[in-house]
Amino acid sequence: MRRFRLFTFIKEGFKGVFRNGLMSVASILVLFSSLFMIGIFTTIIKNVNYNLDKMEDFNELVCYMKLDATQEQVAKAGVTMKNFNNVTGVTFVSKEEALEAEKQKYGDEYKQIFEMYEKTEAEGGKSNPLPDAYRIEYKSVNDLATLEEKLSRVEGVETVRNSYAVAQNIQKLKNIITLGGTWLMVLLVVISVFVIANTIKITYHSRELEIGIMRYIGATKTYITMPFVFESVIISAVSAGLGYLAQWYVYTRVLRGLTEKYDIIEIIPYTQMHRLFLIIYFGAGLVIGVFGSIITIRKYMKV
Amino acid sequence: MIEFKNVSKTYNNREYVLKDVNLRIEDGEFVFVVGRSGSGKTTLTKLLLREEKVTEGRIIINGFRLDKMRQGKVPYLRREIGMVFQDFRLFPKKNVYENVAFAMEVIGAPSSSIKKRVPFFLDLVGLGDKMKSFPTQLSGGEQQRVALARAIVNNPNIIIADEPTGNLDPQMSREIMNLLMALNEKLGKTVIVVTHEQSLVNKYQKRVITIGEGGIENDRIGGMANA
Repeated sequence: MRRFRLFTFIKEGFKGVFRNGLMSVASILVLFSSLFMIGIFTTIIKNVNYNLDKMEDFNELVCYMKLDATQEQVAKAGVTMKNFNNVTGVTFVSKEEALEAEKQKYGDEYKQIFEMYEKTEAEGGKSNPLPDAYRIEYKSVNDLATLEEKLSRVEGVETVRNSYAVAQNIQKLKNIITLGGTWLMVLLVVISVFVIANTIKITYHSRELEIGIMRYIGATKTYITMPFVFESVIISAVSAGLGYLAQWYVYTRVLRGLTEKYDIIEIIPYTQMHRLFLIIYFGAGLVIGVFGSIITIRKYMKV
Repeated sequence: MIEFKNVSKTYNNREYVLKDVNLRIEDGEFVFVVGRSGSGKTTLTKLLLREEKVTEGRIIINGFRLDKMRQGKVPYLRREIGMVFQDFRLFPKKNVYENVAFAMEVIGAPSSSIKKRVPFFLDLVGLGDKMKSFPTQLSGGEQQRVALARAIVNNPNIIIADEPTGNLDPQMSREIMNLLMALNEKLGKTVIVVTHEQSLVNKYQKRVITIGEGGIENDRIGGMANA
């Protein structure tokens, strides 16, 4: 494409934007809204997943050993557990530590009961009823059922307590958010393509005479169609720019404010997100713009 | 050279608009194409511009095989043909100079060439002093002369004028016909004038092709046309 032609196309693209001023503004607003919604959904999906992933980090299984398990059996069980796939950490909690923890928690309320466990049998006391246990940290919730099954078969293990249902719900929530968000984004992209296509259709009709003359005097398809493509690129670029600015404001001001207020939520730093936002706004914006104009032009440029 | 060989055209596979048409127009000829409304004149023009494809047969224009031509090549065929319409088809928001220059810009002509050729051709059609005027400020005859300048500025070998005098009074019609005649005689252009004005045809005594009943009814030089 020769340089002067490129300038001609850009100039004609701008002319098209201004010629259909009201429609261009409407298209910019709709495309801006769609892109902004896509950006917001991405923000939600990424940050919810980020926070759910963090919650997953706290997930653990607790393996209670049999009360009559020997010390050797307990030690061996710990080694076996460490070697299982998906296990990232194994922490031993002795029955004494467990009792101490319970005492810290309920000691004031049930003082007499705990005092009973501190006495010997000769003094009328009782033996510690709590078992030794292992806290198991794991990598992914996907294989949790398998891991639980394996742990329950380890020699000396009485029972395995898990937060599997919670973990599964977290996974389900992640899937719903990701899937729902993705479908909504697809829907918004389709709507945007149609809006752009409609703008270009109106531009086309307002230039029908001109295009007819251009055809008769030997203008190539490229020469006729490029101004339309540039027009939609301009509309997309303006929408993308506005969307990016709005996204930046919402992310760095509104979301930051929220996280400062409610510190249980943590958001991904903007520096880690801005590249993705650039791709969404300018990449998706341009694809929508060019695709929207091309489907319209192809329809009208058959002769 | 323009050649039609056993050309037929139907729309949606219904009745033939043109059937088995054989026609040859040599370089530098001046031809009137006449016929009643609906006789197929417009279809013939559309076939020449490859606005429509033939149903059967073949058309050759200056070496281009129109029946086998790919869509991408059509603009290059149209650059060989200067087209003049009854309704002028000028850009109302461009001035006379810009209207003519546009035809050169479209084909990617360098601006130096545009600056040289446009005034030359506007002078040729007698509008050298109206380059800055807009179409709405011109008479019908003047507008048609701008259209003529636009049609010839890229130096096509063939000029097709579709009812060029249909919207003009007799005086202006004569001026336009004289210009077309001059282009034919002095510059050697092939000129095809599609018209239904019998008086015009009779006045110039050129080759007259009469279209009717889906084909060529008559093809003769000079004299009366049965339009």
